[in-house]
Amino acid sequence: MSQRALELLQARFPAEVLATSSHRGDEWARVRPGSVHEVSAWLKGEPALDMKLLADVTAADYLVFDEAKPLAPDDPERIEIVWHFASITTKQRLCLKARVAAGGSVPSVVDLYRTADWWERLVWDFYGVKFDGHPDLRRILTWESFDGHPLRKDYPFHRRQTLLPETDVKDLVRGPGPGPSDRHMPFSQRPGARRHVRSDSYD
Amino acid sequence: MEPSTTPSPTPPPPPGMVNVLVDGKPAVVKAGVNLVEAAKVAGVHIPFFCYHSCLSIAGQCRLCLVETADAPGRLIPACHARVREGLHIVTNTAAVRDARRAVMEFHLVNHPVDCAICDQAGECKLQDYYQAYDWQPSRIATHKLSKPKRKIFGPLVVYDGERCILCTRCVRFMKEIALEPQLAMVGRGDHSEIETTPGGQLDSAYSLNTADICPVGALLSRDFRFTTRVWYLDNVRSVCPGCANGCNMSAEHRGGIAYRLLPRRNEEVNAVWMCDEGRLTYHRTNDKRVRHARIGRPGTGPELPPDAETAAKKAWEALAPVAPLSDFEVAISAQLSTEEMFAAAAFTRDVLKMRRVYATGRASGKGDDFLVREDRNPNSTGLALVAETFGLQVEPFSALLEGIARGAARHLLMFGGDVPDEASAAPALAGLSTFVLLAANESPVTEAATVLLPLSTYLEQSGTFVNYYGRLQPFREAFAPRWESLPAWARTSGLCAAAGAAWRFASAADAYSLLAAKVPALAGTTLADLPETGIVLPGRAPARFAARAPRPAGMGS
Amino acid sequence: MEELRTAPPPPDADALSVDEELPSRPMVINIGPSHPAMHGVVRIMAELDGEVIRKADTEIGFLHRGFEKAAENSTWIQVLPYADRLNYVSALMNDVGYVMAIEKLMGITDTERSKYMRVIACEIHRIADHMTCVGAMGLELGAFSAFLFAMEAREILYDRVMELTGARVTTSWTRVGGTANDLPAGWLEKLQKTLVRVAELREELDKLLTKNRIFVDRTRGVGVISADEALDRGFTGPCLRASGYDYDVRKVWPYLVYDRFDFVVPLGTKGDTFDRYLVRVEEMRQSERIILQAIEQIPDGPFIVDDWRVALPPKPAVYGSIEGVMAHFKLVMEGLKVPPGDAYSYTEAANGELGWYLVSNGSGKPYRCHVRAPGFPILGALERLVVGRMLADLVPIFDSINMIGGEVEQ
Repeated sequence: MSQRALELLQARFPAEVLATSSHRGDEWARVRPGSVHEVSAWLKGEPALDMKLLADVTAADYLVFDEAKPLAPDDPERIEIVWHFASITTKQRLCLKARVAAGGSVPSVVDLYRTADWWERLVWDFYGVKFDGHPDLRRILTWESFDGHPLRKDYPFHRRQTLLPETDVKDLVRGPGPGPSDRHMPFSQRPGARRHVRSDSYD
Repeated sequence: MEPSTTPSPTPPPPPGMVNVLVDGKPAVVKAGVNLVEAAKVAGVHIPFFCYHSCLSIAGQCRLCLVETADAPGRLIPACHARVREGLHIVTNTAAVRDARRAVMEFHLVNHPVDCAICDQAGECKLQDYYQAYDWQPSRIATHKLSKPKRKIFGPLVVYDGERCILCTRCVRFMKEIALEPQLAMVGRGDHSEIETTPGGQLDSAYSLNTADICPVGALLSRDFRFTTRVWYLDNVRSVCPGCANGCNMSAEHRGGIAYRLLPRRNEEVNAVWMCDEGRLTYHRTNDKRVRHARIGRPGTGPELPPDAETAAKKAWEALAPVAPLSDFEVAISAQLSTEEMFAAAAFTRDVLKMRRVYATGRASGKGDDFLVREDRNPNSTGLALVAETFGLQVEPFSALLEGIARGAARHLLMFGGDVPDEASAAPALAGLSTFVLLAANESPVTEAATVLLPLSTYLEQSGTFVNYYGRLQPFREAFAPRWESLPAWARTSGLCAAAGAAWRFASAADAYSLLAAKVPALAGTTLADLPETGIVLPGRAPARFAARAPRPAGMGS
Repeated sequence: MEELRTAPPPPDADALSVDEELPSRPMVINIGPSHPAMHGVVRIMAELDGEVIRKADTEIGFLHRGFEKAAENSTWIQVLPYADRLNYVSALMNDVGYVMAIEKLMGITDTERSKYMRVIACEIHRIADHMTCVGAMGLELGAFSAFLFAMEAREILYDRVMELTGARVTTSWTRVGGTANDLPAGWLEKLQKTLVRVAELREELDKLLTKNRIFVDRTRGVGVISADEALDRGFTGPCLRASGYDYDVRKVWPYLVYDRFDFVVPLGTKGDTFDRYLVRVEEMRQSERIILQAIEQIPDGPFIVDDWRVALPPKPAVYGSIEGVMAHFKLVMEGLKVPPGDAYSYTEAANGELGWYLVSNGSGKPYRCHVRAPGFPILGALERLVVGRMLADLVPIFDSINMIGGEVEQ
């Protein structure tokens, strides 16, 4: 739908654009992390694109995207930050992506789009990716002394962090109390579930 | 970008390999493999029911039909056709899709609506392939055929004729691998079914493998049936403790209970097979476990408080006065892991100052030329290795019983509660003055103990076994030790602490590292990154492999 | 601490000059999180200089329930009840948005009838959401009757939703490829009657508030933001349109069957609280228009695609044929098989552009499920809207942005 935007982007930043895709109406372009601010400024200012709305800044942790071949925790391309731009005047949408290591940083676009303020705080809170140039990068949904970045894939799903100590109620399936249980997990999706064994002896 | 008019030439393949294309993806595969294996190399899955890489080709399920680019529209069974140089296998055309749907439809015409009660649900190839390749409603408007259901084939296998898709994997397995052709296909057409030979039953030592390879719920394990649904089970890579062969298996468990053991592929040890006796050893982990430590014979002394330190202290109080005596002996079971044996041997030599240990374990049984070894203990070779490392002399258990009978042995420390013959050993052991026993299962032997400390089984710890062929193989912990049991290296560590000795064993990995430091073949390895196929220790292999036992390539008889 | 004045002020000094000489410091007061006017739970630490707000640090996170982490640990359809509870006032719009994102990833579309049904469901919950907002605005400014009219309208709409989906609020009604069930018999006629009553209540509400001296005085010129600044701050939906910027996803990038309906997108002029209120009231009128047109145009047909890889088979097939039971089993136990990839799908929810960013790695669970809550950037701009206004203006401004705690804090 917005192939034109992709073409213009590739023409303007041939060295910064690492990969592109146009599939099922979504266009995205992966760029070098350091060039994000420059590209965003161009997307906003270029009259043919006029992308004045930064709809969303989010991220995804690709640590176990391929369960058979997980990445190393310090892989430099582990976390992908995603910016969704939209232009209502030219009716185009483009998604920028950049991959960084956990604990890495990308330039902040808060000076271009004031909405990025809270979105970048959200990505910092959940993924631990810093945004250089953000005036007040602190946690937003968790509390200041929270330990860890919850949406990373190595943050365990059942870890409990509370501001007050919890009583240890062992015989309740749900509710407070330590102890891991994967009852929450759909049975067929449990780690190590079944599949590799059957194919071994089946084939 | 201009399209290139001539494709770049593919480089010639290495000798013994050929270039093929699978759905346009290039792959280099071994010459002479069939199309299913070739497609696997390229990452394309061709579905099949009757094909099995270790069995002869039947070619009768017709699900693996694919096309080749040089003869479009003509379908060939991928399990049977072999690759040649430049072959282009095509699986994503309409003809192949329609063929798969038609074949699945035929297989499902008479299949009973049993998913809700069939054990195979969750690991059923019919379900998997239907959802992936067919997904269309039923078109039949008649009744389905009725066939015998719940037919007992043998002591461990039950057959359901309605679910059977007549792939004959079981028939071919019994004939070619188990070498006991106890199954055959009888009847014709719609009314075909599998039956045992007249007057016989499916009582081979490998009968449960047929339940494994059965793609549907036609052949099921009577032992496992209706105990749990398979999607509740976690599994862990482990090694069978049934005999010295050390078949790689996967222990399936949930909530601290083991439910079944399934073979795991290891081409150099057990291919994908396992004997029935080994599969049933999981009962030992669940049943009749020693739960609490105890001093005094049962009913005489109080139960000890649950913490390990007190138990170790009480055990050492019993051992300390008798250890220096000449009629004090130590026995180590060949059922323990190498790490547990290492800890026991270290304690025996350095703290108890002994020079010899007695090897105990389960009694031998009938071996065969395939996977069953006479020695029904998984780690006899490990015991020999550990004893050598510490310079301890290993004597058979019969010598110990003899010594007890003579009165030359009156005090005993035994690691592991297995004895070859309980009937003769229990009364003898009951006559000992001091019998400190670390055991996992209750038996007449544990009733004879004066101090009893519960041990964890191999499923509750990580460790290694060294099999009959000298292969050190790791197994992983399935669940935490149940009740008050602990692995023997933890118990020994406690005993060392109580005795004021220097040895400590913080974990199985710790004990393994100490072992690896003393054994040149294991230098530099750690328990966590041992290869899954294990390490073959030099000089420990027997003179002769069992005639049909899988073995590493190049290893002779 | 300043000394007390010991001498009286000069007799002919201006009364106001006394104030300028009084010692004072800014006062920080804490509003919320547990406060009737803090919809959801939001904490505003307002630094006041007299009555004027100098800073308003907004702190959120009290309602954060870990939706995105929970989504990564559930199958695709198991995420649907979690999605309901995001914007819990208009759950059907969350359902529709989420399922449309999965359909985009899978490259399938739902049936014609399902498209119309989804439109009707979305518009019903849009009316419910706007009623909540407008009624709460009235309530917190003292107009209790207006609130009760809004609540009655919402109640009868929830009755229709209950008949349709089985639940009033947390509906979980959509499925990949369609909806969970078809419209009940006679439901469309009942809905038309309900809409008549809702229209009555809406007009009553309008009469009570729109020309109400107190209401206008409290909301006119309060919390003004220009269109460009609003867009720059990520505003979408009624808050953006109140500033005059014409952006409605249903018109710019039409989805479902919105391009077949004749409706108008109301725009404000001043971008103040009163405009945000007026836009919502007018949008309710337009939603009613859309629903009536949809009721006229809705075709017969299946309510879900006939593909057992995504849709559960009908129960007679599940109990009567092996194919049905196998398809049912695989779908429920293992989940949908969504091809690997990512997609961003966006709809016009009651508060603005509701975006869903899904990443799939081919397994039966979402690898990443992110919801772009329309209220999140708007709440981020709250400080900008209230700074310089008096404390009492905080309440109507905060009401007018219609922050729903569930979607902002997931």
